[in-house]
Amino acid sequence: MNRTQLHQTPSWKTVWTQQLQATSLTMRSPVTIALFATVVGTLLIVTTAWRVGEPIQFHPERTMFPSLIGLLLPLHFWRGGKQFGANLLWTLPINRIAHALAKVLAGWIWLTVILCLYFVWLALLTFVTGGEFIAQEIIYLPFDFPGIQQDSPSAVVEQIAFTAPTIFWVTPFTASSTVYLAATAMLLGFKNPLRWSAGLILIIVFLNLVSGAAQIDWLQTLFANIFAGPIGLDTLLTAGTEAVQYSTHLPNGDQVIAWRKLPDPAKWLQATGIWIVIASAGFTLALSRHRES
Amino acid sequence: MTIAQTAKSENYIFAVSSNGLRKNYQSRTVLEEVDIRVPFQSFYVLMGENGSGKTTILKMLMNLERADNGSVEIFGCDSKFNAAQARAQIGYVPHLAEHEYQWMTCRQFLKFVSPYYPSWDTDYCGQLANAFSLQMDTSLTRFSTGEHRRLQLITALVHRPPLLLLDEPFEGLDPLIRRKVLRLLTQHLADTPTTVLITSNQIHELESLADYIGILGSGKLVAQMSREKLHLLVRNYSIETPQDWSLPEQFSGLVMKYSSLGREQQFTLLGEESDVINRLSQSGASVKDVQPLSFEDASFALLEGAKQI
Repeated sequence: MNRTQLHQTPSWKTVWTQQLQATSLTMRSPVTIALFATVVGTLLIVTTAWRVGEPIQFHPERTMFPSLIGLLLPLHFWRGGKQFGANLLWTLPINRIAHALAKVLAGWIWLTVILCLYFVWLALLTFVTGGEFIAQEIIYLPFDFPGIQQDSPSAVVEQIAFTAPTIFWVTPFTASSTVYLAATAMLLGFKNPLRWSAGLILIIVFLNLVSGAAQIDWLQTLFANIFAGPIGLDTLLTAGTEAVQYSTHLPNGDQVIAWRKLPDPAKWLQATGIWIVIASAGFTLALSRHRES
Repeated sequence: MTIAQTAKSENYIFAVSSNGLRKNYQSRTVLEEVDIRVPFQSFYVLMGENGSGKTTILKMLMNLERADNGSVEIFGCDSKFNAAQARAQIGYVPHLAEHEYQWMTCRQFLKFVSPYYPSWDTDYCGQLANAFSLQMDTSLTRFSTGEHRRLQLITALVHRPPLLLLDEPFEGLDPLIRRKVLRLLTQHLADTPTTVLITSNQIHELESLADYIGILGSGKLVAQMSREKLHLLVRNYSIETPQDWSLPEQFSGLVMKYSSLGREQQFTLLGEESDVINRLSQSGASVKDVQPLSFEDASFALLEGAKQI
């Protein structure tokens, strides 16, 4: 019998480098498009801000843009591949779970880079348009403020200077990372992830409609808590700054955005922790479907 | 024990061996007690009808599919518990491959894959890419099925693995390219000591290379033998029979093919020639002629026999 030279597996450094390079290579087209959109968008935003006289405020936590990026990146990285079958990634001589982790981590680094650039861009916009970095004047109209109804604040209007805790600046990173993990879990865990996602959304919409029509209080409360509760998705994604804002008319007829309460950093921390644990659990389950033994 | 350690002992005689492989998809049994044995440095052709489980076996060898029961060894090492090391020994051409790197050009793809195989032979890669006339700077999304198949073959061959698993590698290739692939494969096997397990029903193209054959029928490995044994065991018998004669029960499962013309009947039977003749004579039939079959005819006879099971 002839001696056959048996082959070695690649080093972890090689695998990591390959995944980092591949994710960087796949980002070329989106980055080019994003650069073009950023240049056009910046011109429009700055000229509009100067014309209207409303500067851009530095509040990176008050937008779902980072979460959107966290959702889109996994779709981009894993597009075109069937994760259950003879996918190239699973046929290479490396432990599958470790390989998937390398790819997910390489993608997450890109997500972080994009968010850092987003921060810089937002800071530049704020600086150029003369906006505030720290404090901001808001109209504070809590529900239970004496004599004020939600839709007709005819009495006292309190305008306060609200300083968002700087810890909220972490929100874009935590929110987008959680969404990134959850979206990756869907893509790795299901044979037909888009079908499952669509099904899940349809079920939520249906149950929400049914609970409203049939006055099922506990279900309505559950949905309200999941989406806009103190430790709900809104707290995770925008530090709770979205759900507390509402549109109303002042006694002079002006339509304004008022805050019914101030976001709570403790609740944000709680929400972030809980949702990261949920997303990580989903991701771990999804990965376990690709285990070798 | 790792594959390298196992290899050092050189106790294995089979490059691939499975024990009692079983796989069900919901209520359908795809594989049942499959014990495949691919001898070291042999060329093993696995035949079977569509859906007979050929692709599933190869996926199990790559640990892409989990067996409900049974185990697989690659060079004497369990492919489930040392999967990465096992895959390092394998050049795999899947039947269908859909991956998320289709946006790459051919050049980028090869550059991406190459570091995963420390034994990647860059010069050989260039030679094969030239021989297969691949457009190196074309995106894989623009590749035809045949071009994808050629790229898969390059990826499988270029690191000169000790084991090649080729799942219908000629599918989607035009006849000219098919001949070229066969020529290059022959050359590769001459240069590199390799065990090949190939699923294909295009046996005439592999006739000159095949050493062993396995036949899958309804999820079972109904036959597995060397080329020589196939030549000895599968033969065509022309017999004359008395009226109302019927083949004895003892031939059940051994009839690969049957045709009749008047009282003369032709059977392709599986078994030792002398034994078959004895048994036929005892049943009252007289054997007029015995003809060996070509490798291709014998293989197809086995395949047809498998259908009856």
